[in-house]
Amino acid sequence: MTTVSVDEKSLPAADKNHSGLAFRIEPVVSVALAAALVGFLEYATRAGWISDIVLPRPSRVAWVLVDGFSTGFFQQHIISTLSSLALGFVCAFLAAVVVASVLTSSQFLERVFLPFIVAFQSLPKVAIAPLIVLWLGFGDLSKVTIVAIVCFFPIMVNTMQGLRVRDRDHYDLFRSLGAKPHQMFFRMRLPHAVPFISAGAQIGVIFALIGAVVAEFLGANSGLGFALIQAKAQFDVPGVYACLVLLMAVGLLLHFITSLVERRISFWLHDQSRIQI
Amino acid sequence: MRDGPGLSESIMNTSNAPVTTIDGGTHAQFATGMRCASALTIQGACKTYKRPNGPQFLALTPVDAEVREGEFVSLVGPSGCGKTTLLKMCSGLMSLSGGKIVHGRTGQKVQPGSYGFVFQVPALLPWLTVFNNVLLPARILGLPIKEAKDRAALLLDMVGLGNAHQKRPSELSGGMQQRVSLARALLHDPDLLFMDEPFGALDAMTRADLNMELQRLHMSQGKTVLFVTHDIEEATLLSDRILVMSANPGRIVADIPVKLPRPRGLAAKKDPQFYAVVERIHQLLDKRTVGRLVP
Repeated sequence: MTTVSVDEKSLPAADKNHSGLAFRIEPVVSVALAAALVGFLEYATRAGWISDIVLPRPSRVAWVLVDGFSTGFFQQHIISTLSSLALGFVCAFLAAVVVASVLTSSQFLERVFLPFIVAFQSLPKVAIAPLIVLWLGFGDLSKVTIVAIVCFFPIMVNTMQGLRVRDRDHYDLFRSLGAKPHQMFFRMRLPHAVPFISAGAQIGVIFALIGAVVAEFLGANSGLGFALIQAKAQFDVPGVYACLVLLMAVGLLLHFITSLVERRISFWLHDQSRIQI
Repeated sequence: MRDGPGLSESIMNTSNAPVTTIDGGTHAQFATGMRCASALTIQGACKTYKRPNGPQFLALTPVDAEVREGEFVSLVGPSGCGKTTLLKMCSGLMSLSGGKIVHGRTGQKVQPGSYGFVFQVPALLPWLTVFNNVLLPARILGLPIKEAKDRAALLLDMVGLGNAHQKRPSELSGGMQQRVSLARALLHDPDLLFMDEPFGALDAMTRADLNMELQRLHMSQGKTVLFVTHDIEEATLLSDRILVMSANPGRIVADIPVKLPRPRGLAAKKDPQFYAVVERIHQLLDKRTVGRLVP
C-alpha cells in the first residue's frame, strides 16, 4: 500500500520518557521526611515539650504494636475489620453497579429516582449507623451493613455517570449496526463506565473504612475501631495511637489495591492520558 | 473479499438510463458507469423540528432524489443545509418528518446493519484493539467470527494498517484511526456506504491519500456511496453525481453529474471539465465566490 504515510517508528520513541527503571528521588525524600518527623516527635516527647496524654512517644507506640502483634491481638482485630469491610464493600459494589445499570436503562426510571438519590446522597450516611445497630444489633451483620450503605452511593453515582455515554457517534455507530440494548450495554456502555466504576470504588473503599470504624465505635466486639475505643477507655494513649497507625496502614493498603486494579482494568484511559501529556 | 480490476471492469458501463440534470442536458451514460437499479429512493423526505414556542423549524424541505446501485453520490452544501440530516435519515439514524426513503431493491426502509457508516470522527472504541474495533460489526450482527477475522485482516491490509492489529486507537494518528473506521464500515461487506464528512478533520495530505483509497475501493468493490462533504473539489474528484444543497431552508438545488473518467488522480484536477463542475457548484452555492476561488 502506497498510502502509509505515518511513520510508526515515531510512536515507541515517545515511551522513553516513561521508562519504569529510572531512579526517582521523590520516594526517598518522602521516607526521609517521615523518619525525620518521627525522630523529632520522639525527641520532643522525651524532652517533655509535649504531654504524654496528647502524644505518646513514637517508640512506645511502636512497642505497643510489636507487643500487640506478638500476642495476635492486632491480627485478630485487623482481620475482623478487613473481613467486614471486604464483605460490605463487595455487596455494595455489586448492588451499586446493578442499580446504576437499571436506573440508566431508561430515562423514566432515572428521572423518577434521581430525587431519591440526591436526597440520600446529601444525608451523611454514618448518621444512619445508630439506627442500623438498633435494627440489626451489635455484631458483624450491622457492621457489614453500615459499610455497605456508606460506600454504596459513591460507587453508584460514579457508575451512573459512566453508563451515560455522551459520545453521540459511538451511539450512532451501534445504532447503524442495529445493536440491541443488551449489546449496547455490554459492548459500549459498560466498558465506557469501567474507569468511572473504579474511580467510584476507590472513593468507596475509603468510605468503607470510615463506615467500619464508625460501626465498631457504636457497638462491636472486635475490630480496630473497637480496639481503639477500648484503649481509650483504659487511658492507654499509645494503644489509641497504635490503632490509628494500623488504620492508616489499612487505608493505604486498600488504596494501593484499588489503584492497582484500576490501572489494570482501565488501561486504555492511561494510554490516552500518556499520549496527551 | 471481492477485489481486483476484473470486477471493477464488469461494474463499469452497465448503465444506459438517461438522466436529466439541472443544467438541462441529458446524457445516456456517465463515464464511470453504474447499474440501473436504484439503491436508494428518496421521496419527499423532510425534517422539521419543534420549537418550544413559535412555529416549527424546517431543517429540510421535502426532497426527492435517487441513488443508483454502484453510484458515488456526494451531498455538498454550506453548514446548516441539512446534508448530514439527509444522510442520517437515509441510514435510519434519524427519523423522517415526512415522505419516505426506501432501499431500491427491497422497497423497504434501509435496515440497520445492512450498510456501513463512516462518521466525521473515527468513533473507535478506545478499550478495544484496532483489530477488535474492525471486528465489532461481526460481533454485533452475529456473523461467523472466523470468517470475519480473516476479512478484518484483509481490510486492515487494504487500508495499510496490516501491522497495527494489536495497537490501541490512542496509539494511532487521526488519519490512521479514520482508516480503521473505514475498514470497520466495510467488515460486513455492505452494498451501501454512508459517509458523513469522513475526511473533514484530516490534514490535506492524509485526506488526499484517503480520497484515492476510497476511489479505489468504490471502483473495485462497486459499493454505492452516499458521501457528505463541504469540500467541492473532494466531491468533484470522487463523485459520479453531486447533489448541491442550500440552507434556509435546507433543500437540493442541483443535481450535477461528473463525467470525468476514472480512476481520477491528481491530474484530473487539471482537467477543464473538473473546473467546469467546481465552478458550477460555486456559482450555485454563492455567487460572490465565483472568480475568486476558481481561476
